[in-house]
Amino acid sequence: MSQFDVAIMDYWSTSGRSFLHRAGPAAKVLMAAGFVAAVVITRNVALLAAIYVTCVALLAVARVPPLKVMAIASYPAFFALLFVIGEWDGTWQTPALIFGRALAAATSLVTLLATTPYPRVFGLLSRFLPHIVGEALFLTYKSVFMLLDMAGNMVTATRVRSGLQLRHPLTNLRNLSLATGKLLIHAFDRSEREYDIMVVRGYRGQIAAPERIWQGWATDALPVALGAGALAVAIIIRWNA
Amino acid sequence: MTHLHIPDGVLPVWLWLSGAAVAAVFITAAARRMSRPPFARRLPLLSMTAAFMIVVMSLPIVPGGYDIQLAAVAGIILGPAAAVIAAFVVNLLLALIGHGGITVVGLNTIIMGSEMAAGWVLFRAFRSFLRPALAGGAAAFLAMVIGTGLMIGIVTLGLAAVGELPLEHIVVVGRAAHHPSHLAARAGEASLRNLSIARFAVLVLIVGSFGWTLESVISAIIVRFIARVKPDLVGLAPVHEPV
Repeated sequence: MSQFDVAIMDYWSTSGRSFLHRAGPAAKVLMAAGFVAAVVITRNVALLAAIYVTCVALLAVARVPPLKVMAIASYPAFFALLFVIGEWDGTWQTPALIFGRALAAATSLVTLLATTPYPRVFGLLSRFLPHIVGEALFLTYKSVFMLLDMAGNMVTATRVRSGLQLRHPLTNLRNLSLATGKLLIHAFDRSEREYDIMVVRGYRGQIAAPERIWQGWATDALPVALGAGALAVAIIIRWNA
Repeated sequence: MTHLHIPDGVLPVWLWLSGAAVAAVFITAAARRMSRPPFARRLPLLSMTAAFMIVVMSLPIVPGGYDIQLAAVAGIILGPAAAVIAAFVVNLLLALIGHGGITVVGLNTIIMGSEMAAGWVLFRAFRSFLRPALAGGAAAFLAMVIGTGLMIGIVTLGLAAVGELPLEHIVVVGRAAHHPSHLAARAGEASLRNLSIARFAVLVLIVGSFGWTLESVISAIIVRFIARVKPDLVGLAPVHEPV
């Protein structure tokens, strides 16, 4: 994971003004769910490729850099590789299916989060989760940005003090581990302060989430139709097979 | 990458649905416990520790893109109940930001949650006769062995499921395959499955053993540092009761 993946996705989701950005979170969650369900059901490589290309095309239309998204969503390819090696039967179809499933599912989710600000996604998910888990989701995501900032400063400070040198990997390991320990301590102190601030501001065990999950048919119809369409095609292909 | 996340689409549906159901039970129980005072006060710590697990993956501690996650250290700090919620939150967020595995969030939560809980239990067992650094390192190593063993067990269960291979071995673009070699492949499924499981397990253990060693060393250094600076955080001079 790059240090900036989370931050850049958050920027894309909040700065975009495309039809996909304007669509309601429920419509986009349904689209992602439809894509993922199709990925799970189908054994058809062409359909997996179609879902992947659709997501990339949607992102391009929404002015989210598709190449960067493809790079971010390629992370599961490494884990898929282990399964490919373990499962390979000499055909090209098995690796294509494993990689196709992993990449299509990941890209579907990235499409959701790159076009929907996180409070709206988590606000929707929180309706189905115990309230403390929903709150943990909000706070964790928020804390990621804070810690990324602190971690970036920490790595720079370690470099400036010659704590990272190419010829001394063990020293690097020790220095960065110590710096990570410091980061953890800072995170702990910060979490205590955060909680006190939340209580002072009136926190009583509930974080407010946006209520509006649909935006109307004009913007919501396409994402819902795409998700439902992919799922329907997957079911038909599976049925006919 | 010391934690092998199972990607989408490689396990049978019944298995990841069962995993989601089991994880839901654990998460609900943990959430009920966490909702009661004084545990509710630990919510910011839970969130910050979960965020720490995500952020630490991006740190260049090990060259070559090898991600660490420090699940055992996080487990030592949080305790089992909060660890289950943190594991769920980490896996859900990772799936949402492109790491894959949205369908197996439940199973990955069970694996990571077990690892974190094992880290907590083992550290408390070891600290009575070992120094904090050694106790932390040993707990992290064994917790990762447990986590990886659990993952291999789950994958084996998926691959060995009678009559349900997780993947078609022959897939033709646009239509399912129906030719003689498919029947031959079906006939040899049992032996192929055993071969696949063995091959997969060996591969994971080779990759995993490097990760366990490395992450246990890093965990030992971090636990030693925390034990000196803020011992209550790892339960050495308890201020906060473990959850």
